[in-house]
Amino acid sequence: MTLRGDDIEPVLAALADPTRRRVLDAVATRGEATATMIAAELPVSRQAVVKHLGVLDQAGLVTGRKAGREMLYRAHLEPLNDAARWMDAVAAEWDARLARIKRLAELPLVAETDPDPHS
Amino acid sequence: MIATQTVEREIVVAAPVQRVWDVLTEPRHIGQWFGSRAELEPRLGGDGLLEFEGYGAFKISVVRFDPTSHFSYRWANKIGAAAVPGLSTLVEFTLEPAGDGTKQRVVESDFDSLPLTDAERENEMAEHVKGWRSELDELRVYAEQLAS
Repeated sequence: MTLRGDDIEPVLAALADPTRRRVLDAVATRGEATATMIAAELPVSRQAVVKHLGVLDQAGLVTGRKAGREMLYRAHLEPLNDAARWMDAVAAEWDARLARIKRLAELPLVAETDPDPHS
Repeated sequence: MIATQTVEREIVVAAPVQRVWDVLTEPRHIGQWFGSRAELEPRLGGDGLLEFEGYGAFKISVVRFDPTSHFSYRWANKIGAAAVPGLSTLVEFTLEPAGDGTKQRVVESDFDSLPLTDAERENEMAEHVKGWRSELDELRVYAEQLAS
């Protein structure tokens, strides 16, 4: 896990599109699904579903296997947990930073003349 | 599923708004609560750097500077990247008086913005492929020369 989360960026980017989230939901609900099955369920063309599945695949959120003439997709939700954990870590960092601002701001004003009150 | 891709945090500080504003925006203070060192031009459109030990310096760019209530900047995702939409998150601080103290809020958002459109990405991919192909061609010519 990196400081600025470049490793989960593709996951967040993949989830930014509401239609893509619905495609992922549909795959996860069905367990396994083809683009045709999902297109029948959502108000989206099969071609668009194929594109969304491609983005989800690149983000590690689905994997496909050949089933006859179509690909059968399965959802992988681990990257979602990773992303959620990373967002929690970001929130914890902000808590720590705000606590430091609070401590600095609440120091007696005499400290103002000393750029580093700990020295 | 992630409900929201925004982080919001709040704290009440037992100090006047002006004092919190100074700690929040003056580079000599920023280096003490954020990263290890900071550079900042404290004005709208001002540029800055946030240095983190072991990582390097990330560029920031001020997008709102209204003393003593609003301070926002874009924070580049990668070392060396410009602090522009698509390559950065948006950090927004809000200060407001709360009794004798100050309520301080921070919102970080835009984690999910794509640096490139799909077309740009495909184009870039094609450029990579082209680059590899020409290198492979050179390698093949070299190998053939060796073989002859």
